[in-house]
Amino acid sequence: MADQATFADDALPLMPSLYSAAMRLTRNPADAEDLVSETYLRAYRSYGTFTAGTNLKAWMYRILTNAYISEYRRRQRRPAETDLGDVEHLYLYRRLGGDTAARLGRSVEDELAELFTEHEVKQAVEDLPDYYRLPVLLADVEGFSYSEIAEILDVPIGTVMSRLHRGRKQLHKRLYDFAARYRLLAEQPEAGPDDRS
Amino acid sequence: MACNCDDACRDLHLYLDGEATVAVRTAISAHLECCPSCADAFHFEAQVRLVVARCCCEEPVPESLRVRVLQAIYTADP
Repeated sequence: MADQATFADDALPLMPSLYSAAMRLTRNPADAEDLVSETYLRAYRSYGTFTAGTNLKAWMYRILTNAYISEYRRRQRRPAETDLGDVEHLYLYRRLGGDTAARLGRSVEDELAELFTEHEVKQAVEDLPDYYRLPVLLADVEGFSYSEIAEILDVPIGTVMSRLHRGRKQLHKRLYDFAARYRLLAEQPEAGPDDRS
Repeated sequence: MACNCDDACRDLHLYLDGEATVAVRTAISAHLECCPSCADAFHFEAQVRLVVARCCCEEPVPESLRVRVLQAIYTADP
């Protein structure tokens, strides 16, 4: 059993990652702040049920996820997210990678940084439907294991694996759309900022 | 036990997630040692994940939120 007196010291260091996840879930700072604040209040009230020494971060994410699903998701004034359907394996790599020689010594990292901006990457994540966005955030941003994600989302591990798999494919498809647009713009000389001819 | 390109690609996410069994992990690592095209694909996927993680994890917390949470905790009924 955890002691409420140590709650602030134990849980506050987790705020940056919880707030970042809340931003990707609610997609705006005002709702993200409300969600994080609600999460901390709920966590504080039930801190007595948390077993000290176990995974506090996973426990806090479970509360955040439940608060988001029960209250904040309804508030979103966005059209329903679209499921892009099945996307082929290694979709992004087959279109953007696989051409090591053509990179002329540039790293994959540099290449990716040029193809999409930080804002576009966030946008691609935010465009995912909830059932894909949550596992992708928990695995790829927060680094939780499959079994931790299963516990946080209260679904079987097999469900985590299939949603993660399909969610990543959709994410890559969205990223490719941004990259394709960038390349198209770069190919138009009159629109290219680097055109000095 | 070695594996081929199809096996390696099928288990790419398990491998990168650190969720593959020791046997699968060992087989894939051995395959990547001798297959530059799979190694390239694995490296690419890993880099995409790094980019996504980096873009999504550095949201600065507003000071007002910190204050609000602390106040809520201190004034909450236990």
